[in-house]
Amino acid sequence: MPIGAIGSSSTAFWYLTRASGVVSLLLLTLVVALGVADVARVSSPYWPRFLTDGVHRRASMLALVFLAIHIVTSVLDTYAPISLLDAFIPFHSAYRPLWLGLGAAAFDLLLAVLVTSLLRSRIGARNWRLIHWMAYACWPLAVIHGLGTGSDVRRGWMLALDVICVAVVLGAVWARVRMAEYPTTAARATAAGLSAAFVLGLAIWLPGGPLAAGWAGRAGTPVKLISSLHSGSPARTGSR
Amino acid sequence: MRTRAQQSRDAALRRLTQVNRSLTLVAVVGAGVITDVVANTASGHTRTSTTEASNTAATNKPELLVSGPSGTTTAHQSAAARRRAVAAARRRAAARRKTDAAANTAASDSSQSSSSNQSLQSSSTPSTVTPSQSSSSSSSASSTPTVVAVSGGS
Repeated sequence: MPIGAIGSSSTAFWYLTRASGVVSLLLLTLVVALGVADVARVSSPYWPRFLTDGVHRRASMLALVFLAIHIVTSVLDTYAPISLLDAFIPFHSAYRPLWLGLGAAAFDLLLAVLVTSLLRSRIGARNWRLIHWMAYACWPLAVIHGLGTGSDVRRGWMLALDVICVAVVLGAVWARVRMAEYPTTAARATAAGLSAAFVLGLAIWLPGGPLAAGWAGRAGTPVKLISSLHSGSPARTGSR
Repeated sequence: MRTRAQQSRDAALRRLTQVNRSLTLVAVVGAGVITDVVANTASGHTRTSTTEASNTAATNKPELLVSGPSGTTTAHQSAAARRRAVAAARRRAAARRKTDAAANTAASDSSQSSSSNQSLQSSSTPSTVTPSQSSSSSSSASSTPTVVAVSGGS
């Protein structure tokens, strides 16, 4: 389908929602990896450290822009009953409340990180750093949100992108722990434990969850929506 | 006169501008590509219009009930599916025209020479279709028309 034709399609918002969600996840992954590289003081004569910092900031802004597109198109696409409030208040939505709520929580965390970064000179470096650590929590929430609500989870390319994102961030976290000036045993154990728990949790959850049949009902899709689609009549939760 | 440090700093700043520009470009193009990819996959949903809904209800066949990738059973008809349905309808119409023309020719031949009782060779393409095949293209994706092979001649 040509890109130009998408604009005239009634499902344009739906396609844009999915694409912007994927791009946001990729950009968030890049942001986390660059942030770790920045803290680890990775640099070379060709690539000074301020370049890493600059790309990290630009990627963060781009991620926010694509997140905004993701949220706006989700709200405008009337197939799923998602309101603008659901994007900010976690676990408030009528449509897959848990999995959508994780995305809302990740968005809130990202907003907090953004606002505190803009006010860094006012709140102090220590407070800023404490809040900035929440970015580590934001990324897994975004990944699980994508796996729980994404329509393309079963696609090979989407699974490959998810695997790449997880590998990149886990590698960055592990490199961060190893490259720290004074890595304590507790820090290493925490990083290793959380990383292993995350991967193990995904490995256990995915086959019986999003990759299994009937996930829509178990994920919390409104029964009305599913039954209306089964009967072949248009779902009128909204207009679809 | 700029020092070497200033030159390297300016070069790094230019590099930063290029990298940021490339990142933005890649993100936008990537979003476009992924939009195109998801538009051509069978997952997702479609806005079923009232006409389509009434057609679907009349035939008592949901438009396309497919279990989506996330286990979502959704009535969806992606752009690719629509294109395939239209192409199939066109192929069937062309085959029907071809068969009709062959049947007419055979009929005129048989009327001219009644002794030659030749039967038409039925091709691999369907010869005659039921009226359900000539229904609207909206239901062509789900309709499976009964194909009746016609042996021509007398």
